[in-house]
Amino acid sequence: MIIPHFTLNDFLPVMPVGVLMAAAIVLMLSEVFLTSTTRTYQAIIAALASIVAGGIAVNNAFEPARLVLQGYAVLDPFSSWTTAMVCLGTFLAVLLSAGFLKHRNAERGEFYALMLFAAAGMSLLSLSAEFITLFINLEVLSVATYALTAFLRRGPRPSEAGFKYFILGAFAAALLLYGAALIYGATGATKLVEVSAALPAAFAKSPALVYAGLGLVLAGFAFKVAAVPFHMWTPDVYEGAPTPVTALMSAGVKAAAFVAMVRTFLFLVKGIDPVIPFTVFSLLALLTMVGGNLLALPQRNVKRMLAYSSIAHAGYMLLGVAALFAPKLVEAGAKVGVLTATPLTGTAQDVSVAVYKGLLFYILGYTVTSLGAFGTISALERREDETRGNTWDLERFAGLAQRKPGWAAAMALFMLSLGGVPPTVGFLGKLFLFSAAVDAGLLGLAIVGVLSSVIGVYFYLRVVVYMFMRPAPIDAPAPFRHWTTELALVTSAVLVVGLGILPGTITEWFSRVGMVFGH
Amino acid sequence: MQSWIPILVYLAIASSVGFLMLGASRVLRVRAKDVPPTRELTYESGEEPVGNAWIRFHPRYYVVALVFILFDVETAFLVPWALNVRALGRFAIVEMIVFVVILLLGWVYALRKGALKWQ
Amino acid sequence: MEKLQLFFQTAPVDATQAGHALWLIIALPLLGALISGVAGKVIGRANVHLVTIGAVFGSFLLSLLVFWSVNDFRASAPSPFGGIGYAVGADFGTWFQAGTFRVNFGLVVDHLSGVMLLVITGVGFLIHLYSAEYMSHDKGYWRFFAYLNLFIAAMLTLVLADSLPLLFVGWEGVGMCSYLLIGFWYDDPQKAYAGRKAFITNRIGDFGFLVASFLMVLMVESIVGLPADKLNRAGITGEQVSSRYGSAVAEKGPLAFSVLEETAKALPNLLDEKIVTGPLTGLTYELALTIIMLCFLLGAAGKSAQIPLYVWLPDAMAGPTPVSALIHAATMVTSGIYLFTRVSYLVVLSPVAMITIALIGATTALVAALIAFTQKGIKKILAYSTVSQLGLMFLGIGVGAFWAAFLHVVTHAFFKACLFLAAGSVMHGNADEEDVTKLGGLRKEMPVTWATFLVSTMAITGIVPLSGFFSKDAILHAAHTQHIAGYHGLQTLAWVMGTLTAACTAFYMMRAYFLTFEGERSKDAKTPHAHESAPLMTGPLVVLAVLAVVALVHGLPIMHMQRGGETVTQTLMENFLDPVLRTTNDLVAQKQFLELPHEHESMVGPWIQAWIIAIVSGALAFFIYRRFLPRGGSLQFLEPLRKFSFNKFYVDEVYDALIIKPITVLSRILHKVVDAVLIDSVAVHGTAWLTARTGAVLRYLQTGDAQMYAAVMALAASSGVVWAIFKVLP
Repeated sequence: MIIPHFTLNDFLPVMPVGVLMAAAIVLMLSEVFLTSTTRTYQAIIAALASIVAGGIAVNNAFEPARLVLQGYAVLDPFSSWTTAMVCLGTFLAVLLSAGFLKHRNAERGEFYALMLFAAAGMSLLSLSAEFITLFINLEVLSVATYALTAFLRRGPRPSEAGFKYFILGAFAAALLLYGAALIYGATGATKLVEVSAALPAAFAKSPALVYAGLGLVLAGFAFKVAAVPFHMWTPDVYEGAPTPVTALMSAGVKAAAFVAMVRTFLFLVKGIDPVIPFTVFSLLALLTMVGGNLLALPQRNVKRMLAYSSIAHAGYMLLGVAALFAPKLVEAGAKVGVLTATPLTGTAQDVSVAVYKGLLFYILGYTVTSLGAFGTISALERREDETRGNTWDLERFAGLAQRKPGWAAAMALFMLSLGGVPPTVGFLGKLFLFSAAVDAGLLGLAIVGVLSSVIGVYFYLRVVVYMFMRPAPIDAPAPFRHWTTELALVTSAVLVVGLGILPGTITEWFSRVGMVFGH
Repeated sequence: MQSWIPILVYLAIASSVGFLMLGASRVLRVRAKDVPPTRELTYESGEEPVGNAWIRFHPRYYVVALVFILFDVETAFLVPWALNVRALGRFAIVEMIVFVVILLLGWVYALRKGALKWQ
Repeated sequence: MEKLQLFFQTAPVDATQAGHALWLIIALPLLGALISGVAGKVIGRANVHLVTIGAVFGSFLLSLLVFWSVNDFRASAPSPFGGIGYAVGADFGTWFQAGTFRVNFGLVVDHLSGVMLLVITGVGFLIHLYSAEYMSHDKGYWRFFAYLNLFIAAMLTLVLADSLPLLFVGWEGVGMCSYLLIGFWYDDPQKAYAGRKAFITNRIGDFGFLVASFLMVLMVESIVGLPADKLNRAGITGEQVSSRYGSAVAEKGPLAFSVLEETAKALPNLLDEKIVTGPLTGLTYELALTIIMLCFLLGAAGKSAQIPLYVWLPDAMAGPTPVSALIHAATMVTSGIYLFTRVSYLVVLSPVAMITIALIGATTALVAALIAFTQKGIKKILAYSTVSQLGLMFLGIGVGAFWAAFLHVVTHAFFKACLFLAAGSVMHGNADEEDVTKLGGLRKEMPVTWATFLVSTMAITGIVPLSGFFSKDAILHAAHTQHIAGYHGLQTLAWVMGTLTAACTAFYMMRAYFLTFEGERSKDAKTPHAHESAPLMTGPLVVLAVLAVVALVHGLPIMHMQRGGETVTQTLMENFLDPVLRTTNDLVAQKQFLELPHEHESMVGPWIQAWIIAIVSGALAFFIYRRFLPRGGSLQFLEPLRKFSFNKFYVDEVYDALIIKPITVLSRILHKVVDAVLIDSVAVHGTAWLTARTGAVLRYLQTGDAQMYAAVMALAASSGVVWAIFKVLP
């Protein structure tokens, strides 16, 4: 029997998770042992925990990439940065929740504990290097978010959303697990490194088995990142969940799933015809970009619109992933098509550094923007509107600029960032990803991406139009005031503009070599 | 394609077994003239059922069941650990203590929350 | 004398430090504009004056220091690429970059831009002072001073730039400020229209400037790609030239002036070669250079009001008078001359461009002078006089007398600013009366204004001991004696036109003077008595009038220098600009496109000639307007001519019929058919409609049914797997 020997070094990558978990447990116990009536301190504990965890993660990001914990996890900048950004998202979401829950008289320690558990799951997901670990972490993350979705039990929407999310999530998890089992069957390994080593032989022997396994694993991930056609749960769940939770789901869950997917597939494409993963990812990106934007177009419900928009943004990130898997050897004189790679310079460049940078920067930008946008909505929504079913209707935003110019300005800023208008962070993220895609030769797909983001500008700006150019209705809601909410929104707004103007150091950090273990 | 033939054969056998059993029972079963009232009842291990099965259960059933499962699973981890603890050494003991303490904290939470109170 | 020279040549500041502080000269007025523009209304009139005038004065002091450093003999180290020697400057690194093309953000002061600096900040300071009084009743004072300061900043950027793109920033900046200030009283539609006219006319010129810059990039890059043996130059091998040139282009960008100078040095041997790379392939270098220069001419014609783009300047008088003095007489309108002096080494390589510039300048000078004969508005007369004088400067550029043209820029800045400010003072004291026929007899009522106006009029007329004579005569002398190879006839024509202009100038300026200041007060005057302006206005007048006299020093042939073994006598200005024009002079000597006179003639002949011209024309004006027509009527038999001239040769009407009308009709058609129907209805709304429909249809797939969602997922996953399997299995 092999006796495992762990050093403290092995636990470095899970240190942030340890902090998050410990804080979560403290929060749960605080709920049953302390009986204080004011509960903002719980939010503060959670926020501090995410700051500490994020700090450790940033520190980890400068460690050299390596396998830890007997090959079950990796410690590389890619996962550490993801953890840091998940912690940033959690920090903002927790602050948003404090005001949101207080306003609904629903402040509970469990809520923050669940958020921290979810964050821990996301962090772990981004560094898993083995199928079972991956699955467990996916479940840690999922179960916490299922519970968070239905946290405000009153009313039909949260339970419907929670139920749908649970059923479909379980279905997707089952697909992923089944896929992993098939791959295990073909290769006899669950650790990604070993799977990757055994794959070429397995392909030669039983290609269909491997393809089925890969397809099912991909379906599981596609569900989590909400890629079309695995996206259909997204609007219902995002709309039904408490708005700060929606914000965390749109940013953190998606980020972690993306990173896990990229990591897994970087190992799983060994020995496979490179056209196949490229085509699949291109197709997913195409469908997701176009579908997300088209579906968001007719929405008058701003929260639902943002849900579709998050699908569209997943599409742009998938574009980057497709660029990563673009075939390096391209026939001379290949035609430019939507699902083909035709490098402009004739030879395909290695764009992996640019794609990693683009993905991480996009995740960072989308995290702060999405948290800000959902946060503004969360401060504006009124329970009493729910009976009328127009809580998030565009009309409710009409004339916000006259009543609350600061809030309107912040929301406009977030909308511009989502639309990709300079000098916001959203513009830079798109720029990095699209230029990486063009460098990889994905000209057609990049053009589709730009065109679809033009559609996006329409519905983002519509919100701005309503806020600035329409008269306010008589019973227009005023945002509730809570210092944590305002702190979160100001932080987001500052980051949206600050990172949009001075991305220098961050992009430099994101584009170091040795970003992803093994690549 | 070759590797799929066993699966297809397996699939055929499995489905035919199902049909066979249902068909066999249809052929072999005794046809009673008058149906006794107990035959239409839900099988409850010999107990006579009280009321309809489609009723709303109190959530505490689920809570108790969940807590039970949690600690049940703990056993599944503890038994193999106990068998090998000598070979694994001090580290394994520390690790299991951490594991158990976390579970204990959960148990404390459940206790304080009143999850185990039947009222 | 020697001690004095030594004093002027040892600056108190280190040249490197001065170079790194250059941005301050621009930043000060920019800050002033910001403060005045943002907070001007709040902080009040006195504070706005303090901030804006202080900012310009600060720039002036800094400019003095920098100018001193430029003079410093210790700063004479040539730049690493053999660029402008005797220069103070700093390169602040890459400004922007696209592919291999890059532009550095660099500021540089040499003798040329140093003089411009002093003129801009010095005259600018005086005019700021004057404006404080002149605009004392205007509510928009803060706006005015903000624009004025912004203009100073832009103009300083223009002259400090060490590359064409940065120069263009200033170029556009001054254009914008000019637009803002012409339309300063924007609630008068006519004045707002004048502003627009100036802006749009300038845009046409700017188009030429941009095209010229783009072509320049292409030409420079084609030279970079040449084999080394084509670049042989006296003294150094082709390899050395090639590598030095390549690294200069890579480091400073193709549009830096130092690179352009290197280009000019490389060109003489290439002029007949054909360009082999890039979009200019097939043209000879000479043709390409000529096209570039002509495009620059279009740009300069817009900014410096030359035919065919001069029409905006007379209308620009709608702005406040200090603006006319500063922007439309002293500084902005001379930027075309500045530009050509800056790239003089390129100008002298293209005889076609030179003769074109000379002819355009001479024609403009004469036409504008003829129009000025009959104008009634005092500012209109001065405006046409400005156009005419600018034409003379272009004539100087065209015949290769860069120093003379530049000297005229300086002297003209003094006396024309003085004339405008005096005109402003006249209007200020006469209830804004502009019409010279309704003034008169102001000599006694406004003694200071009268005296300064008279001095400046004599200066512009070319009476000998005043500065105007020296600069103007230098230009005409050059037009007469320096021959552009192959164009003797045309050049003689240009010279004749220039001399005629000088005669006309004396006439119309004396006319304006007599009608305004001499004789009896007109019965149509708005106020019975004029009042002299406040000291804050007359002070700058006196200073400028003194400068208009003192500037004559620059035109005196008092410098002796050794060239080619013989002693050459030069004027002060020519000698002073020698470091800037050294490459140009070398190229002239090398290519012989310009034949210089061998003998330096005595100055006495031209002096007498100028006296005669000035006195005869002036006397003619005196007789006509004092003796025959003391009330400003006209001679019957000249009436049609008068009308023709008074209506500005109907140029505006011709432009309207030939250019503006057709464009309006065409754009209306485009608007109605292409824009409204094709683009708006079909392309824009059609696309939007189609997209929205698609979204609305897709929306119905979102039923909210979880089973359906799962089914779609399962279908997608299985079809993906099936596709992959069938892709590999036969």
